[in-house]
Amino acid sequence: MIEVHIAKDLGNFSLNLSLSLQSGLTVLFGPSGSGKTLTLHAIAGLVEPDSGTIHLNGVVYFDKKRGVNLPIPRRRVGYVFQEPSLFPHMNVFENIAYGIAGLSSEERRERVKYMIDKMRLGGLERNFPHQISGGQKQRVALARALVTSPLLLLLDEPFASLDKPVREELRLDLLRIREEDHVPIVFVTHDVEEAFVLSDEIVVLNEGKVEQIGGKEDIFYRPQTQKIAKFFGVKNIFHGKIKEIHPEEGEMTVWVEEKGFQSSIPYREGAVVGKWVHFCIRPEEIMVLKEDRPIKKSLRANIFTGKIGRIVEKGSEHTLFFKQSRDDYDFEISMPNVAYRSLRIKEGQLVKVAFKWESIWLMPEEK
Amino acid sequence: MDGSVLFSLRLSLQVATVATVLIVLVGTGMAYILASKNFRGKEPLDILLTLPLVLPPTVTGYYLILFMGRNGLLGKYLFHWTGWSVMFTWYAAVLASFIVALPLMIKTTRAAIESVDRNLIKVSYTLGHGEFKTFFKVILPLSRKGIIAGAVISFARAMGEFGATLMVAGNIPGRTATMPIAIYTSASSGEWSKANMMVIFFTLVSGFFIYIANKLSKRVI
Repeated sequence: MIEVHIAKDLGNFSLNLSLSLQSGLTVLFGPSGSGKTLTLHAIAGLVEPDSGTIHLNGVVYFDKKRGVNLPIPRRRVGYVFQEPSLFPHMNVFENIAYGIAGLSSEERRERVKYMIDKMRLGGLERNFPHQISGGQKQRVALARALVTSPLLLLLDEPFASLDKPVREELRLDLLRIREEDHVPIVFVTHDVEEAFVLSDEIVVLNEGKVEQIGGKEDIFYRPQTQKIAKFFGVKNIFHGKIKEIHPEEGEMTVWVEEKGFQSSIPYREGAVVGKWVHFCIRPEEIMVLKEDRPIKKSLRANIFTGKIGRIVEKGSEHTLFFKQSRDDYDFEISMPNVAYRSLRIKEGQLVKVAFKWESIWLMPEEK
Repeated sequence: MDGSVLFSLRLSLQVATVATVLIVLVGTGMAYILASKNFRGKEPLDILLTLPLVLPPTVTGYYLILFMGRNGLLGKYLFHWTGWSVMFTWYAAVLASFIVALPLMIKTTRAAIESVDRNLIKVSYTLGHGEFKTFFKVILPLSRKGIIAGAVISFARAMGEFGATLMVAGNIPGRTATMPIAIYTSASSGEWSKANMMVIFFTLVSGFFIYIANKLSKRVI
């Protein structure tokens, strides 16, 4: 579908990417300054890479060696910016019609009307950008890009400045577009929830390089690096030294020095005693054990006794900070309010917690 | 009112109008190039175009003679092919006003063009419109206010041009005596009542035009 292999040096930042994206909705995820916008600009032709190639559906858009650089107007790549960027001197209808000015006025009117209905903008045709809301503006921007039947749609954090309910509405609009218009979409965001809701595939970008590509489960539960783990909200990242290995049983024991606990984790090929490993577990995957319930065999090796330190209420869930003996906390645990209420935990309370075996993720060796 | 006074007024308006039309066309184009392109020699070009703004009009007039005089760098070819020279005609007055007021137009228009949101231009390109269409559909409409303001200032400057005009167009009654020149002549020969009349008239007319142009630029969004 779209092949991007480019490099660009901007003094104190350099981009070095190799990407192959299929149709569907790809989320380009990463912190600010990781090169997401630069990548979109390169694909659209707004920026010329220093070297490399860009192909869309087999057509060469950019090839430094052969001196090919298709001008922006010929690329048929729709682009929606973070700020709606509607033409202030044109009304909604004219804005949407801008990209199809070459068609007959009949056809133009039809296509624009179709978009207006699709994006729920009925009745606003004659309004000017300063007369409509932020959410409406972005819908106009989307309609404007879509009406030209682009080969690819690029969106750069388009919902970032909108209120939560409006953002959620627009995400559904986008998913509808994905279903109905079959146009490949590349969506840039640094919002984890958004990445989860929208993506078919996530590309994680950091410091100008691709860190990991995968489906949401892959990235969320099996992050390849500590950085990715942190981006996606994994709070419990541990560094431990291997103490014992039991390959037949598929497990090994590690000692986490800095936190002072021992854990049983999945065995990895090539593991040897004395080696350092990183493993992590998501806050939602640590269970607080109920006194009366029997304990599953798979949990037994990773049961820890300690106290609950701080408890933080976070809207629909609670975060509990668990510590064994040290001053600082050892694990961050999170659970939905329902679970919290039924457990009736208080700060300072003595509890037993356990790691769900399937949720322990041993991170690949870095570098 | 004196026939010569009326003539001077008509000539000044004519010269200023023609000069302003040329200034708007050339100035807008140059402003766009300076605002959006980067090329070697851009800095020197900018300086060259700004010079008439700071040089004394007599120096500008001198350069004009050097170029357009009968034996001038360009003027000699013109004379050789057509037997005609621009010197001491009202065309020279237009040329003088043009050169002297162009920098004002370029500066105002360039600022207006640079204030157009860059993203709008990028959006226009991604929607399939090239540079030419984008200029006319997006940049021009959005910098209209600045362009009109530039045109007003240029017109006012062109109306009031004296030093360079005197040098290249001369002071020929009934032919090249624009109002500022006529006022100078009357004042230096003691025709005070004539001079007074022209000064008052000129001030009112100029003020009127500025008023009209301001109203125009306010109505534009």
